[in-house]
Amino acid sequence: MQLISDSRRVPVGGRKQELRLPGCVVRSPLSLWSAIVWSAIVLCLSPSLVQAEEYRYPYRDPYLATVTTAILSADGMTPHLKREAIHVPVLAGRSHLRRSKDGVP
Amino acid sequence: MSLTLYRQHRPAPLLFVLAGIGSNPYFGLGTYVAWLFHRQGFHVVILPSPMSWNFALAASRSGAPGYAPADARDLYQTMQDTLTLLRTRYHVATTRIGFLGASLGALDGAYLSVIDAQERKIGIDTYLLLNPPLDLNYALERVDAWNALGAKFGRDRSKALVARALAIVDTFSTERRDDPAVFARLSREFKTFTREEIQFLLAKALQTALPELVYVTETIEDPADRRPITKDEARQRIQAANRVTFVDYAQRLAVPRWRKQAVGLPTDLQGFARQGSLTPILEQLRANPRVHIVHNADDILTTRQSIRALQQALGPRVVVFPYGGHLGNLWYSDNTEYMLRTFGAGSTR
Repeated sequence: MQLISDSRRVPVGGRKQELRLPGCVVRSPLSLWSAIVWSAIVLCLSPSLVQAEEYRYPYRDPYLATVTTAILSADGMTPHLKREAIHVPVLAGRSHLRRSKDGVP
Repeated sequence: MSLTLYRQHRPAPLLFVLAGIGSNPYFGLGTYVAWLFHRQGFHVVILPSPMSWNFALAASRSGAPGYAPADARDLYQTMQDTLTLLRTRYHVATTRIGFLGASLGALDGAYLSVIDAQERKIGIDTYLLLNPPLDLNYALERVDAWNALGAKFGRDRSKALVARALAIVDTFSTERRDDPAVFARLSREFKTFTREEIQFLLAKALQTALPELVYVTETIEDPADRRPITKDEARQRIQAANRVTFVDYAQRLAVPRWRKQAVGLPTDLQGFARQGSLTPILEQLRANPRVHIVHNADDILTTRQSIRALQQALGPRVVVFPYGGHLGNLWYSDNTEYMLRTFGAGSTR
């Protein structure tokens, strides 16, 4: 799964024997071979991008995608998952922030 | 300081979870991660965000959190205290320890990895850092710009937008978190908002915990005779802090205190943001095979260039998903599988 990104795909399309790379069209066999080698090198050097066409996450709008985190707190599946509150001692002198009614902190 | 523990009744790996800015241990993304890992046999402890009033009051030595190197140092102490408490009072037996951080929690986790690699007082064996902000200045400017949309919308429309969004989210409060259809329904509801409205809502969500943090940060430094007496007084001061933005907080309250912590520190927010980003510790991260980073190419708080630079620096230990925005794909099956696999847990499929 950890292969390439959208931007590194090399679609073959249009007229025969044309390899379309971003910003150029390669026609001769030598150029074609060199383009393939360079593409392979780029792919090998970038093993940690997830291939876009294999990743079927449904939201292409990044803002809408981000909004979906809003319901990760939903507890429909975990009503009985037991959790405990742990109280770790606080820094000295930070135990209260209000002064008492006679003004003594 | 309050944390939450989800425990197993046998020796098990323990996962510390630190979610994003202002998050608390009882709500939000941390509880989702706890659910995911607890059912795979992990003890899970959710830490409060250093940018929460809880942490600022109880654990932040500066009292003004937000500078990751200092926050990580305070977190490190908190985690040691927590482990001691868990082992002595709660008899929790751990087989190994992992750390999962998201967003600002991921940035704090990166600094934590540097400290633990040097001091080995905890011995964290795996870090998974999800969508860390790579350029804090950029992220702060983005959130501030989104927040400023409130002025364009006006007070009434802004309030109505927030109320409408909360009402939508509320209707999903008992839904399943592993059902893509639920997320599809939610996204249909939010498609009725414009892009700018969603940006404004995201800024509001990120700043939810800020007024309480501002109150605590101010009050820690107040002379004792100026501290509030009644709950009403405290509430009024929290309300007064409602309009404070991250940049206001940092410039007015935090930077002056951060500068007092040591000599040779930056003099302004931009300097602290640069020095508290990932860039200064890239070499240590590269040298630490325990650290794994996940990002999304379309993260709205990070530029594509900085993600590419991170990949070039850390190579295959950075995995970039093409979509997902900021943490928006944590629930997606490919991502949950990846998270579980990183910590050696089984599959959910």
